Amino acid sequence: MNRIRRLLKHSELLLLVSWLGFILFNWPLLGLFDLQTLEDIFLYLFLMWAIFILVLIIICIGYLRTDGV
Amino acid sequence: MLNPVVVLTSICLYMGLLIMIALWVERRSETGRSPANNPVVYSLSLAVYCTAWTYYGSVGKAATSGMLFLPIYLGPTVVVSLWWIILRKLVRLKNTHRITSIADFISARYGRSQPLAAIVSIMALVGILPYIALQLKAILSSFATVTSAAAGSAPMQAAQTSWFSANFGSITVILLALFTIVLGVRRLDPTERHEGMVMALAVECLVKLIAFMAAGIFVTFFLYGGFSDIFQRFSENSIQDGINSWGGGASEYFTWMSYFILSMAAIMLLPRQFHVAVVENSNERHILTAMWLFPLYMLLINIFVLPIAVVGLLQGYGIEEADRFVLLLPMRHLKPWLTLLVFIGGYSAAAGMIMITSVTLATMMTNHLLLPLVERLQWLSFLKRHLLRCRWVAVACLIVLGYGFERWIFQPYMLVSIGLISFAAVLQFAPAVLGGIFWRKANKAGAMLGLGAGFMVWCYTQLLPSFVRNGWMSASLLEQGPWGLRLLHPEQLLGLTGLDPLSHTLVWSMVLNIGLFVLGSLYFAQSEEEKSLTEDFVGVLNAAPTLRMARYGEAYIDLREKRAEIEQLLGQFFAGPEAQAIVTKSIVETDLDSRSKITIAELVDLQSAVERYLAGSIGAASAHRTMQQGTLFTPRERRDLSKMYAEILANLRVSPTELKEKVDYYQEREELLVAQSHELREKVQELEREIKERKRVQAALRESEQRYRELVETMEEGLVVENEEGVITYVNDKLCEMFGRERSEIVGHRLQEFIDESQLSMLCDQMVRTTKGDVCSYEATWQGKGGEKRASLVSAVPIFNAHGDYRGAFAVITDISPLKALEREKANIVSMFAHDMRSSLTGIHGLGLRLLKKSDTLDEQKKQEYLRIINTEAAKLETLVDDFLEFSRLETGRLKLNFRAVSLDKELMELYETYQVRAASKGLTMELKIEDPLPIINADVNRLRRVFTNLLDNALKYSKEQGNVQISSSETEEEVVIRVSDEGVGIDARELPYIFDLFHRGLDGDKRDGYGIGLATVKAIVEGHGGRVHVASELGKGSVFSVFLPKESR
Repeated sequence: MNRIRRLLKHSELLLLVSWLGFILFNWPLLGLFDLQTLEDIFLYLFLMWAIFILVLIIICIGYLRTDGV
Repeated sequence: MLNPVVVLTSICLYMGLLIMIALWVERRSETGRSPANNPVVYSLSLAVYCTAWTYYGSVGKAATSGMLFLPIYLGPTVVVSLWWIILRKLVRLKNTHRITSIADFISARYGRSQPLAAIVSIMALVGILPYIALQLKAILSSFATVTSAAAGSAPMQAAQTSWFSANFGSITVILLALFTIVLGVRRLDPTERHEGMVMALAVECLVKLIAFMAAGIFVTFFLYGGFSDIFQRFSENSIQDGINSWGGGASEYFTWMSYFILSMAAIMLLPRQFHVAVVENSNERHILTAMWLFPLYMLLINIFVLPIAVVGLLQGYGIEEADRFVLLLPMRHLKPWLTLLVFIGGYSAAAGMIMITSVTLATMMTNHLLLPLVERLQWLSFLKRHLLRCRWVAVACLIVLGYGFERWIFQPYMLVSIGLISFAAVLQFAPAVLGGIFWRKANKAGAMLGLGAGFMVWCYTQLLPSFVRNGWMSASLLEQGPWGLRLLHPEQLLGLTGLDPLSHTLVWSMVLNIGLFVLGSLYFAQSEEEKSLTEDFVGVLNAAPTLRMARYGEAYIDLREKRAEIEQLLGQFFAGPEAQAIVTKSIVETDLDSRSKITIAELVDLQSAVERYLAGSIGAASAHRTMQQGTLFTPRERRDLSKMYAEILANLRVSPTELKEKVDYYQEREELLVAQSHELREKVQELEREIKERKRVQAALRESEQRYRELVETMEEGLVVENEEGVITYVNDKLCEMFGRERSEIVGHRLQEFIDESQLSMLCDQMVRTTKGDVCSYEATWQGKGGEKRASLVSAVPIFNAHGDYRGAFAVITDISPLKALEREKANIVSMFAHDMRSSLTGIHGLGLRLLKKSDTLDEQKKQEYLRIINTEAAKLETLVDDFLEFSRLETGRLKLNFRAVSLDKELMELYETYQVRAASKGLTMELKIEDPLPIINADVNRLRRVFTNLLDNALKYSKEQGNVQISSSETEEEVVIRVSDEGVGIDARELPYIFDLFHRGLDGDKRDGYGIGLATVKAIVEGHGGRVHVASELGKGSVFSVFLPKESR
């Protein structure tokens, strides 16, 4: 648990998360999924968006719990 | 259709409410309890990003280009995840350098350059003005829509029918200008923070979210059966061209990525975003909440965009009306309140953007365009004193100019197109800003070259084509290029085709901007001032607290004189009291408030502090220039300052070059130390957390142990713990009491030492079984210190460690001595009973036999005597059997009562008559005292008789000679009380608590008589009636038994 907490505090993790976000929401990854209909694209993007926000919540709460931040 | 007057009144009420909220917040903030200093308010205010462009334009974009509206919000979501690195730096720098705008920031980083600040201000002005126009366009268009005669018809025709409709544009401009001035530019604030305005903005952002979601929910779930239903109908419909344009081709992805990158820059570099995110930030920690709450806001406001666009098309509206779908759909379905709410939401989106943008642009215009001009043109210097009014004028001009743009320019463009042009303009700030905070070699020349080139490309590839499309320039420019040179085609520069115009601008502007920024920074050298600022900006998060310059030299400078000079200098911009307040704050900040004379070093400190405060109002560049221009240092002071620096160098015995190298070396070393200290601090924090956790666990263990200890110490059973060698290691208090020994006399010994000798071998056998893992239960008799014996039930449980090795045992020892005594008592009683029965039966049997065998020889008198004896013995036997039947019922709880109406007076009288004779035969007197007739009660008359006969029997039995036995009665409100008193031997006080116990026959063995059933029966019968029985007695004087019976049967 402590290791996870320590991991969450590294600013490099934020760089990784933003890089993943850039990949998830952009070409070429977006082109690789089988998103045939408008509904598919809509579902993929909003689901990924929600997951991305969830990850941000976890990281930010980790930072907020750190004393002296 | 909504009435224009109603709509206008709603707007006025809404704005009035916002002003009241803002004023309330400002009043609270004066007391240091500002509700705006809150991470949620901060996060909501960032949603000023979602303007009317989002509110109306996204639906339009979705209707024409499908999901292409979304990267404009996904880009910011991704870049927001880096805010703890980037935005925190900007906020820290804002606090250090009192930054007031993005132009001020870039200028402050690159040597407080005024030309650079002016360039950035002009770029922002040119780039953002169309955006303001766009917001006004949204307000006017939406007003015309909601007040038009029929949804879908030409809106202006109906709207112009009233005066309000005709003049709505002018009214809006005036309202917005007043609103902005009141909330944002009411005074010159050295911190440039406007808590009231931010709160009003947060409320606006909340309102627009609620309104848009209400429209979305109505369209998605009330008009249709949810998302799936809409998509299902859409797939079955033939009108899919625009919205389903996602072809998955390279050009679409390029456009997607361009939008993505543009919005990543816009979220921080748009002047309004920079203002809200950086300038208005009151606490760095608020960024952490904004990092997830703001993306969540964007997700929520966008989730219904596509469904609304699809439904608009399904309902037969044309693509050209797509920007207004969100209003048209509630209108078509006759929902006036929803329509008004949606309109107010759209108005909020536009008004919020206009307010913040015009405040920040007005600050840039006055600080970076007007003030440098005033400094050059002396005849305009009077304006310095009217800086605040200048800002008011700037705000008004910006909004009026925006209105002008809306009227005459950009008419053919849809909302989203205009917004993206602005995004492309602010993207040009990105290299200078990001390079400025992360790259030490970035310098003013590079920044100016990069910004200039990027801006030129933007003007050529975006602004120029828009002029052509508005018909202000020849269309041939876009067909053949200038002078027929296709290589210079504004949208296909150097033959780059295959990209949409925006991506085209992005590629070329960034190539030139970044390229020249890097090359210029490498080619040109940094000035000394820039070098010192570079460290401030790049290493701001690692910077140690600034050390104040040493108190150097003699304190000969008159502080009062300098104060007057500084106040005069500030008087150019501020009224007297404000200038005095700034100087006082600076003096307090530099710890000079108790001094009258100061040193030259302290004067330098004071000058820096005043400059920082001034920068908060007029920008870093203008503040620096103003302080440099002033005559704060006299020639002597200048000489002393030079001398001071020279002496410092001399003392250090280094040349200026060596000093520079040393400073660099120590700066690097300091940075390393700061980084190490940060790591150490984190480790210390981690250790502290671990210690806290351990302490918590230990406390929990202690608490648990205490709880079990209390449990063990208060239990009614004895507990003994012994180790693997059979030595006792722990006993509880109860066990000490049972063994009749102190704890120290038991612990350290073995159980065998305390057991009755006759049971020693049995105990040893049981202990052997326990060591083999058996849980043993057995009876044992322990011998106390004084030889007294105590019977007990022992449950012994073995203890094994994790490896299965025997580590001892614990035993729970229950004292069963009272049970054993009771058992003995029962056995005695049964034996007595049998003996009594046998005596009576023997008598009956003997006399009966005699009567049978000698009936002829016995005379009649003898026969009668025998028969009388037989009768007496039979009656005795009957009483015995009755007693034991009663005992049996009492013991098994089967005592049943047959209630009926009973006259206690009558019963007591009969008893009195019966017992009076018996009393007299024993030489006793008897009295019956019934003062008032007793009420009839429900009772079992036979049982009650048994109660009173038991009590009277005892009274006669234990009375002294010539004693008096009295039966008396009384009543209370609820009970009838019958008392039987005697003047007998009385009862020992020690016996009173047990007198009604079953088989209790007295503590004194000599006086023990009967079976101990009578009084227990009395108690059981009275309690069976819902009453109670009480005894009061004094040894040698007699006893009083009181029976309390309820009047109402329970």
